[in-house]
Amino acid sequence: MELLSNAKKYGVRSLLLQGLTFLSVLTSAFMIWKGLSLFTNSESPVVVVLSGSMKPAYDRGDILFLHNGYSPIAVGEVVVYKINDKPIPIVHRVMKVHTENETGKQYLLTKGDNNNADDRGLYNPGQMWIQRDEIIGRVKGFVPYAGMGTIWMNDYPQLKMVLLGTLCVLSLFSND
Amino acid sequence: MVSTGSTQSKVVVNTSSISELKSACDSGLKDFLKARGYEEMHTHTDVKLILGYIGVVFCAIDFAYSWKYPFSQTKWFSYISVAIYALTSVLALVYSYAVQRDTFFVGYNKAKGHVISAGSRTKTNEPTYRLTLTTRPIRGRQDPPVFYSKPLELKHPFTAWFYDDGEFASEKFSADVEAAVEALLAKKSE
Repeated sequence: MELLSNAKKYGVRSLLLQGLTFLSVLTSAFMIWKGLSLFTNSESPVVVVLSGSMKPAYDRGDILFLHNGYSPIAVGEVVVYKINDKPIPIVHRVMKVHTENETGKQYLLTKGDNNNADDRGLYNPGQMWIQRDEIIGRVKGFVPYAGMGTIWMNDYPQLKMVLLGTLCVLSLFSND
Repeated sequence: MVSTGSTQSKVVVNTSSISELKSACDSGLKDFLKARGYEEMHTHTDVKLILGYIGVVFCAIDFAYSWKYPFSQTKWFSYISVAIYALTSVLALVYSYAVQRDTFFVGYNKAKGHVISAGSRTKTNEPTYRLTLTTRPIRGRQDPPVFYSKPLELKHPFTAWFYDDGEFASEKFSADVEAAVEALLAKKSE
């Protein structure tokens, strides 16, 4: 009802404009992300490392910048892959590559630098190799520990609420 | 702000804030022209709203589609939505800087057959209101005869329109603006 009376008082246009200002914060962020995804051909071009399995190259909390592209993967590249039906992407190094001569289809085996065994235990039961289309991207750059905030927020969900609350309170005091 | 007849609500601003002084004058001018029978035209706002919401709609569809289906399957649509979003954003920006510029009011008067648009600017650290008034005939109307006039520019210090405590002196403002509007329309009939 308040919305309706406001619409009458200030006009529908000013309500729509306010809505647009608010929405454009969300949409522009999403569209920039999508644009980056398309450019890198990666569904998630920026990721945070969640484990120490790639130590000493990448530690928990590092931010990685990925580029997938369309070219075949080579042995020694660090890739991020996501097994079908498993939600968490994994950052590991490619150990072995088999390429089918006729089709160019690739079968890859990965392993964490800091792990003793290869990743077959992480794949789906019975899966021996991962395929090119399970790769989200190759690591092209990183910022050490810049993603620690994300990790803390995952570990302590209350922190997310505190941060959100602070932002809301701050937005009340900012004058546009 | 809608003025209710002669009993206008008192407007008090912080006189050291140029932006507050400016927006008080802007809405003062709006009220003045509306009281003179000028109906507001919302073309500038509408153009920006339409462009903005086209982008929002494509963004929302893309979000829902890529939420439901894997990346490789939805890529074709993302190319379209990102392109359209970028295009509408750039168009809105260009419109705002090149077409609308500092215009804050456009209004038409049916009886008099013309449109007045008003734009205002200020410069940093200079408490002067720079008002630009332009007029043109209502499209498709040949009576009264078609006139286009050169824009009328008015430079006026804010101090003349505000009391020491920051209260807006709307009578003084209206008198000055009335003179300006008359000068503009007199130019027209030359």
